[in-house]
Amino acid sequence: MKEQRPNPEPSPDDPALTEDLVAFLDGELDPEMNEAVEAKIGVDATVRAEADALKKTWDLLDYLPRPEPSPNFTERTLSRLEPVPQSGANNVPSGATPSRNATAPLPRASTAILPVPSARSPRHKVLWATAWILIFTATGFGGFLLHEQYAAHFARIEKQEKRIQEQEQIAKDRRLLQNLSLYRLVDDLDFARQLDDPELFGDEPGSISATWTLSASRPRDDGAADEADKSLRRQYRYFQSLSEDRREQIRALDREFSELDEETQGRLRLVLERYGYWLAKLPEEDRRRIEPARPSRRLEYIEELRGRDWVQTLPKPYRDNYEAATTSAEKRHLVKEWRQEEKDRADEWEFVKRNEPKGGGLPVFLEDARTKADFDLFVLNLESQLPPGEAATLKRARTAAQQDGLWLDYAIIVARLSDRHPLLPGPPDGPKHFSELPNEIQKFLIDRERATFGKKNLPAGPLARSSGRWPDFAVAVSEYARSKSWMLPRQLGPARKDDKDMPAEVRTFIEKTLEPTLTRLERADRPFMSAQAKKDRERLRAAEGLWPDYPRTVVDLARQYKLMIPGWTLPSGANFRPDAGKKLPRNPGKG
Amino acid sequence: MATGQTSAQMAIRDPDIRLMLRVRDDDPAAFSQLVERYQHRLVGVMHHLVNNAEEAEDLAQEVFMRVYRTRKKYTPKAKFSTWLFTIANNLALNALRNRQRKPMVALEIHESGPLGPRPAEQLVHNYRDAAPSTSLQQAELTARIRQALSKLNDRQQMAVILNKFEDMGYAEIAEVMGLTSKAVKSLLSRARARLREELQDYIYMDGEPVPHTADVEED
Repeated sequence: MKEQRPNPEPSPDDPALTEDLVAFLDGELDPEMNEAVEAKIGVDATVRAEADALKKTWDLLDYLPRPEPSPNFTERTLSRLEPVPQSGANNVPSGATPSRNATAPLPRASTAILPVPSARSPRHKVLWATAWILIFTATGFGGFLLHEQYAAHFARIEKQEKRIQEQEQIAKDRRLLQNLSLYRLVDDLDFARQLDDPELFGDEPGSISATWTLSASRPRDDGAADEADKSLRRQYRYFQSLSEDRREQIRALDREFSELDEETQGRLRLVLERYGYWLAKLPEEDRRRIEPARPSRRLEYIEELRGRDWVQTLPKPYRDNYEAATTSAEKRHLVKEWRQEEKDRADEWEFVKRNEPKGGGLPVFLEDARTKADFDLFVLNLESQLPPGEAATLKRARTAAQQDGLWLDYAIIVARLSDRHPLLPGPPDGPKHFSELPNEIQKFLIDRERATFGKKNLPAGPLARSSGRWPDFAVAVSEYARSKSWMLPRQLGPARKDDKDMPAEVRTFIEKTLEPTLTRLERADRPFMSAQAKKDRERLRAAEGLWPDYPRTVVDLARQYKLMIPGWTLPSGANFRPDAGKKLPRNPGKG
Repeated sequence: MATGQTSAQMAIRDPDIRLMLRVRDDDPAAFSQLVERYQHRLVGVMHHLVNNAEEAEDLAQEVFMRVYRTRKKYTPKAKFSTWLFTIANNLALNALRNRQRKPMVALEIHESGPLGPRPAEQLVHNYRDAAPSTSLQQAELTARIRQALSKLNDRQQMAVILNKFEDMGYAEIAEVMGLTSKAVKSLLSRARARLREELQDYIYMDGEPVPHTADVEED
């Protein structure tokens, strides 16, 4: 679905403003000016649209391939410095390479079959010797020629056989060989998946390339087909040069890759292409750290280097801070913090663009009365599950919205809090301390672990940290029991749709929306969708009887299928990323 | 820009300056290391400018040649990379000027010589073959981006490339191109406004919509 965007057409005619916008995007303005431009962007939709268009244009340049020098570039450059004189060691003048025949030694006849010369006159001896030499030289040379001819013939046959064998293997392994330049970059599919992260080589949610899909084959012209054949032969020879273990590893990777749906394949290809280009561009010392490392360590190095690359795109004060950090853990921490900062800002920017009040003062999504009622209900539930500090923030924002019309700020705070505290459908209140747990559960826990539960205070850790909060404390208790493989005598919240604590609207949602959606998808004639729906129904069934698993799974599936649970998920448009949920699997045949 | 620092101080901060000082002292291994370290960046910048792999490599080689020829006169006054890109800037802008006087036919990557594709091209082909249709779609987009870039004047192109692909700030670009920071700001602003105009149709390209349950219901 296309989101509503400000019209990108209007372009401010004021070159000074464009200069400032560009410098703002580049982080080149002084703090005062930066603030002024930021404020202008905040209040003026045209300026905001222009800044957005400039940024998006700039990002497009990332699609230009990063050209690489040819492998012998260094060698050629150095040879221009000091031309290497032609070696005269063999006294072969340049351009006068001896022919193969000229250098080939003449065959020698074996002396073992020479007849023993009898006592004859010296003249006879000379004649006999000459005759024998002629005979043997003639037969020997003839034999040599014959041998050469046969050898060449057999070599030709052998070569042809090898070529046929090669062609057969290429035809058999075509898919693998076509992807080999990507496969060779990774050990297994898991590693490729880990690279598919916006902070490494994946797409930002909603960016252009994420929507590119592959079509299996496109007509190519003959030249391209020839080149593709040559390339396949090169890849085949490279593949043959690998160790048996590595070949097997790549075959397994190819099998797993081919089982993925088309969209995931296309996305992972792009991820690996980007990784390959990046790796090829890395300074030698960095590449040497990455390539031989075992996968988990390798990923850490990659994260560190990507973080370093990313910091270079930030304004100078950030870069200086990063440089000043002494340990790599400290650097990683800074990168993580700044990325979150950037993500939050991007979320808010997009949110404001989508929901900018049209006139009534309310964000776009709140203009509809029914959506507003859903939103208010959600906030009510959210408030009941927030820690006191954040609940107070929410209350302040609501007051400011009601009194001063700051509805957009209020909506942003709700979206941010709902991201941080995903709601768990259930009753508005429940046990917040050990003493509030049902008696049978208290007894069960003390019997199992007196050292932990038999004292006045719980030991430091998740249990103590979550004390005083619903549902956090009950979740921590359930998870603690799970970690010890204990089955609690009863669940601490609704674990089935017909549990009495399950809110009526959630039960209705499961029965009237979620289950019918899964049924429809299971019956759809799109195998991928149908398989995924079956998997999800099984997931829901497996969570039945378990809390907080069951309500959590319901919320996850609602997000995945972009369905709203009134009061428990934000209405469409009020989220930071309305389309960021997992996409429905595609049917490759019908796209 | 580093001012008021001694060569020694600079050399401590910038390992490439230390390397260049070894080149100055006729250490052949140091020059080879320098070429290894900077070839990717130089060839990349040149390629974006001249849009021809062979010419880009020739220009990059010429930059290294100049570095080598002038090694004896080298005194660190700025970051090594700034100095190197200053040489690159002069050479590239000259080459582009000459090219305008004597137009050349650009050889695309698949138009290799009689000996077949060169190793660098083979590498590109390997990537192409890995994902033919992705590459085709991307090729269309990159062709449009290249076209847009080529509509900028030479100096704008250089500033954009240094800013985008070398992550250089305005002050460093100013130093490389012999301009003031203010001039760079204005140069980049005009360049980016032009690019925005040229690529208007591509910046909000959404691709296929995400399937929604509504689509599913049709089944």
